[in-house]
Amino acid sequence: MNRLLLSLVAVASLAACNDNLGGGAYDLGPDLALPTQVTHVGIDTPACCIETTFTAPRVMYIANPTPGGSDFRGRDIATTGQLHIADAYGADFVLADGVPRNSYAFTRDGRFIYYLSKSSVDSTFALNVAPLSIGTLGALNPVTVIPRGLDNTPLARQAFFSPSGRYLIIGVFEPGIQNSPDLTVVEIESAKVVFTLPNGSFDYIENVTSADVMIYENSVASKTPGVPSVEGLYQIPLATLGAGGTPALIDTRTANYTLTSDERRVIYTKQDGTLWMFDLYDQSRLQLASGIVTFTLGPAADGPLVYVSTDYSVHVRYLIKPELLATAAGTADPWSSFTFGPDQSTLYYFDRTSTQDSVGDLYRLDLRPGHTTGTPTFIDRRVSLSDITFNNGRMRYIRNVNGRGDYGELVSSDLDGSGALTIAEGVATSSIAASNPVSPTDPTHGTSRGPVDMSQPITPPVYAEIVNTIRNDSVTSPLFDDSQPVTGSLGFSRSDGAPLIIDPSVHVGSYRFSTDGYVLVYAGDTKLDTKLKAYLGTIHLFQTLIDRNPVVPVLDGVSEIGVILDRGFFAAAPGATPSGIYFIRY
Amino acid sequence: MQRQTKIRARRALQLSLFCSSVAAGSVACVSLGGCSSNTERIVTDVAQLAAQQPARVIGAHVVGRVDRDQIIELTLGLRLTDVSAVHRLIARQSDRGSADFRNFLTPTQFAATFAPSQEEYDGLAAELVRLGLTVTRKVDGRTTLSVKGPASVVETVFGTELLEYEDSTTNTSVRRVEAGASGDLIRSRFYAPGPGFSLDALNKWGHLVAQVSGLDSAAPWFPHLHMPSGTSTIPPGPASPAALPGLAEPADIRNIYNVNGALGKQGQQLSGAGETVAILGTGTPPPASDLKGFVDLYGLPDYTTHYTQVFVGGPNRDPAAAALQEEFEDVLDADMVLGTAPKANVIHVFTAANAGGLFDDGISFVINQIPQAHGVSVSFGTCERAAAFEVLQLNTLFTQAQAQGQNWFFSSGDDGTDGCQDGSNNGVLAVDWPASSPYVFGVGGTAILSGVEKAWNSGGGGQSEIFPKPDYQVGIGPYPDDGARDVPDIAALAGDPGVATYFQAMVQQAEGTSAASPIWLGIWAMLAEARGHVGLPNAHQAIYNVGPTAFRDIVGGKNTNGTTDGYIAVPGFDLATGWGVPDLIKLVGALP
Repeated sequence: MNRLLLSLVAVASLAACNDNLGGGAYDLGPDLALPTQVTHVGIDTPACCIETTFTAPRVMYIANPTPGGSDFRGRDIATTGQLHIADAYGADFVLADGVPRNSYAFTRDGRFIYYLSKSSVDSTFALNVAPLSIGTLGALNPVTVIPRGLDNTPLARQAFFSPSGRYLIIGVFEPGIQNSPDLTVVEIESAKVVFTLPNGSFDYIENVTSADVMIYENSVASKTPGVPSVEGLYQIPLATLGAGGTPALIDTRTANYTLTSDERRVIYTKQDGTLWMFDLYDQSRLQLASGIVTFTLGPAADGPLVYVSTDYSVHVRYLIKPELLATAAGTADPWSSFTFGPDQSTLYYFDRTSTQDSVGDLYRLDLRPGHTTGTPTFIDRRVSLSDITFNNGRMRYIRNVNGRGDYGELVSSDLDGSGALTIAEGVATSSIAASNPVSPTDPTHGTSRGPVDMSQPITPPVYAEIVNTIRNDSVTSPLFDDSQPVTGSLGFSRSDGAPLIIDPSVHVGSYRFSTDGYVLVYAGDTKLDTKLKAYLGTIHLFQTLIDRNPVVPVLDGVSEIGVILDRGFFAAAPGATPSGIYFIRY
Repeated sequence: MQRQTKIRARRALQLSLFCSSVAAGSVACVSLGGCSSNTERIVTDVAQLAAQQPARVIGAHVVGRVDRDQIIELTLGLRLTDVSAVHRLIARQSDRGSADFRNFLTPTQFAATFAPSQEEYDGLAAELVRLGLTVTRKVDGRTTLSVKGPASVVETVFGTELLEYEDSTTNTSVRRVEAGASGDLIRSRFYAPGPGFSLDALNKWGHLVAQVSGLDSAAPWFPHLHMPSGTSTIPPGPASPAALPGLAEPADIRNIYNVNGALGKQGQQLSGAGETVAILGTGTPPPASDLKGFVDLYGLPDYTTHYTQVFVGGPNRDPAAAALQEEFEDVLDADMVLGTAPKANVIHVFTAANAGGLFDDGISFVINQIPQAHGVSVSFGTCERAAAFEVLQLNTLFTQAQAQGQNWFFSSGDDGTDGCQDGSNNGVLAVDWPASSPYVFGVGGTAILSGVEKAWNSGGGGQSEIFPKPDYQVGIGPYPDDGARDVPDIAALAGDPGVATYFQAMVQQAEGTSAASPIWLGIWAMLAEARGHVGLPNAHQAIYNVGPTAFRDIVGGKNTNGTTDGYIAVPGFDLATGWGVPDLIKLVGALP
């Protein structure tokens, strides 16, 4: 175990200054005037693939990673290495060898870690749990929960925690089974398997409510020719499993489903194209529509419900109210995604979508009372499906996305699409990070600041995105973390104005806002390390609310940045000297 | 990790591969709501193309206007009057309580109900003639209208300029080169419209037009050699077929499926001539050298005049190992269609990526942009239960295709009753999607053993757990009341002795329902040719109506999961081979 205090680094400017928040906000300038501590944690060896927690400065990582690849079917073969857990104070423990990258996680409360290790039974992986000590990380006593049957992929691809954090729902392969894992529920606290559905049931879709009611699809998985299986949608309260609870059928031959935002109702389609609502409270069922291709729900408990009919018309209604509007036939693409504008007054959707490029032509429907004409308004073409955001009565989106879906023109417009202003060119799709810096509080804890009603003042968001995007076509095999070989300049902005270029070369996955929004951390001046199959750069800290040059601690060779909490974060720096994991405190 | 539901990582679609006259391609999309043009830009990127411009103009140089007198041949796709009514009718046709139950329409009836009226159709044709074009083909279904005329007239009628382009050597988005007679690499010219486009000249008839095919000659360029980057030599010549004796060659396939002697209305030997079909694949396209090697070796007609490659999204994005498998699949698909229906117009469509591209973008593209294809074959699939979330979208598209007179053929998989490819251990019966869709034809496999064609033990088949029994299967087969969609519908050669294909400059043996599906596509092309180039309305019901008499029934053999038996090929319909294998002469005589 090494603990090396590397350096104390001064900031570019020590002068305190007034920021531009106005209204008597606080001077955040001196924050980074304090020395930044860069501490090496863990062993001196290349490391990657960090997982962190919001509850304590602890990190899990892979040491001496062996890059993965893909098989002949294009399936990922994960990067593997020796799994460690470390904290910011010098503790470091080896958990297992040959562990797939990111096949480990802290539980939501940070009290346990779940991780995969090579199975002692066969060539699959086992699931293990270890409770964590409070305070300084102490010796661990792992227990194997599932001895075999897990896959060599990140845990997020084969498992998820229930929203309550009480359960881990995971797919486990029976011996000899290659593609279809069994649905398995692990109770976090007891580390026991409390529910299993055999015969490849995890192939279907599962969903768990905050109250730990699991909704899932399954079939009896017939093994007798001539006796067909029938797929169905089921529910089971996970908390009743110990008391003999059994699943209850909601309906058969279902297709897609989702929960209302209050998690009271399940909205689902059937294979015959009908759309249904099932009430989890009173177990009643109501047909909402027929001839459905796809649907989505708004953010309120009663929707709105949006669905596309087989003639590709768009329909909007609230769940238990008459239809609000319907468009003409041929309006939407069957693969369209939907986005509600602020206050649900506008619905945005796509026609002529391309799934492989994640783009489509953007249209808008006005849902305001008195404006619901049912006539869609064309906004722009080849708009990124995943980059529509709203701020202060305007929206931002990326249009004219290039043929591969990598980048396009970032614009800001009114909500109806008018008044579009180009903000930046060559903006990488899915690269836009936004943060609303929390309202500064009075450092003296006085009462002279802040709204009298104790509400949180709304502060304008800050943005960071990759501009002048470049794809490195020489990279033909996956990077260590499956990220795209896409880099560009890192742009930062506080409004809809043109972004300030704060670094000429940043990888798409190598920047992050702190949880309080005050600091943008990024690995700048990045370069591709072909041996490590990673983009490596120098760590930078950029203050979001004042105009100052970035602080540059002495840490280069950085490939990953963990969550930034309480002015500290972990970074994987396989290219640093010494190589490994670092904790940065600013 | 902290998410409410698991990541629905889409599986890459599995290849069903076991073992080792619309000449121009791009189709103008006319004011369908999603079409828009962006006329001011210099075209340097796909994103900047106007809707009717082929991607090939990217980076190409304009070298002038097309010769004013050059004859341009076009096909106009016409709007259906009420697409939603088509869906409603299809629903009623399956509703036992409806007066329309099993009341299937003839092509003429279909046209009378859903196509532009005869008056409109004739009015549009007359208007085109008045403007200076010649009508070259009318169809009974009134869904297309073919015309030709001088470039100058075409420009006037469609409000555009037809420009002559020369490919740029700096075009790096797709490296496409053409092999000259000497093997040298030459740059090519093609014509394509400029950014402008309008139907205003058609006056009141303009609204009838949904697509215009043939405004460019860009796509026929694609069948030529696609050289690996950095390579500038033509691969070596064909290897001797004698190296792999006993394989099923094109002549064998045509022979065993009674293609020889199957005649069209004019007494011609059916060959698919004048009929358009499509193959949907992904990744790297077959190189011209392999296609040429195949047709030369087996005495087939020059393919370059009737085989077109179209790319949806640019060059391959899949990893190299996967891309190689996909390329072999693509080669096999092309060889089987070219070998079975040697003169069919084949449009081979490639998405850039498998997962996220093949089914979503590819299927949408073919249905909306290649409506003139009466048949489409896909040799990819996946475990049915892993696809429940997308079946409504795709079934809607397949229904749209049916309404257009276009039928899709999907291989049923190469894992027998183990459609999820889990191995034999759990014994769970599963079928492949989309072969299990009630709106497509699932194509199973056979093998020829000791001279007898039987069910192939690896041919996909069984009972869907997603879809109930469609009406056309009610009362059919060994499980008439099972309440499940049974798969496959039909079959063709997939197993022993393997089919001959030509890949990487040598004859290769291939097995799999990947061969069976494109063989059926070739058969389908010839059936459409025999009908006078029209689609087959309510094709499933039609096939099931003639199943007992017009197929060569396969009796014997069974599919398995590798350990336990699945479904036996019994007389009549079964879940190993469906109705059996094609007998083209019988089918031509039996189908409407």
